[in-house]
Amino acid sequence: MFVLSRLSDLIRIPPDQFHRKAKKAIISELNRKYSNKVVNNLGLVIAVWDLVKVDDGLLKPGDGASFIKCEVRVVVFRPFVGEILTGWIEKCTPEGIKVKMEFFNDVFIPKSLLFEGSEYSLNDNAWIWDADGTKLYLDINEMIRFRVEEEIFVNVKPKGPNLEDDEQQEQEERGPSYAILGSCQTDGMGCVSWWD
Amino acid sequence: MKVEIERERLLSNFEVFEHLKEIQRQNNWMAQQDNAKKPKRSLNPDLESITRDLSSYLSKTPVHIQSVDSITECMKDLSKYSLEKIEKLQIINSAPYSMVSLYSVIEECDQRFSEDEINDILEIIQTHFPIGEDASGEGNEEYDEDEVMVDQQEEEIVVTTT
Repeated sequence: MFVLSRLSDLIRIPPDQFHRKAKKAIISELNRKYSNKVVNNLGLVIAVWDLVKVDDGLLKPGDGASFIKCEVRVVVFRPFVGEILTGWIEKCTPEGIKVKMEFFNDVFIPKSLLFEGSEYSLNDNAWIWDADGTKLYLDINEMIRFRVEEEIFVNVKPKGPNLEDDEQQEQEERGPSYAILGSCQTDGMGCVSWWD
Repeated sequence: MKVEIERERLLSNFEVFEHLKEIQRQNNWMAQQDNAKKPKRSLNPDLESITRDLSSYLSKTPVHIQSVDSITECMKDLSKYSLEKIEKLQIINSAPYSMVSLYSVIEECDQRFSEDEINDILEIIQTHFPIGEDASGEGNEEYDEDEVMVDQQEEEIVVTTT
């Protein structure tokens, strides 16, 4: 579920941080830059793990800050394809099930990847799996186990200064920068309570 | 920014959880709830929210019944079976207690292992990460409250100091 990734970066330490220990200032600056952010094709960065290498700081004319090149290892949320994860059902729609994991909420299980014979019930607002005659409900807020099938990265470009309303909508429609497609088709998947 | 190595190491949930606790301790984010001090203005709201959400998610997984020792012992016991690295990692992360959840974690489980071996694996997991310890433990505390009062107090001290 989590991996360590090694990044190298040039980080700017502003002068008001000079009173702190260099290592601490660098780590907090890196945390500010990466924590809770999706790096394209890497995953969701949680926090800095440790510093591997720190070069001497450089000064640039006209700027009081120190620029430091460093190599750092970060904790990244990047489940591999085929990994089994658990989450909670956030929303059921005719298209599929949206799953939340508290810190990461862009998990979607499309209807084509649900159990065979599953049907969406509008009245119950839930997906129902007809397993040999017994009806099993996938209700909202149930704990659900799913398999990671696909990871989707979208490179989100920075917003321009004069954003028109149309553009804003366009941005929203593009969806999250990192999303996971899950599936519920084999034994052991679906609601955790079914299999206990 | 440059990505030097995309996947240098795999991390278990337990390691991440410990790391988050360390971050929270360093920043005194845990202490806010205990004493009614005014919450310190956070210098890094992103880091604070992700550590809070992720540790709340992880605390619902078996991390709280794991320790460094129990994980290393479990890995030693599991090493006699030819499990892939990621399969072992998933066993540690999800601690499957039932056969069906073990099957979902291990690929082609029925072909690679006999029923006895599977039961043995489940046994290993059960001994190192005892299931329902917190649930049954809480229940017992209520019943024998007077008898275990001293233990309980000790436990509380341990909990607060850790």
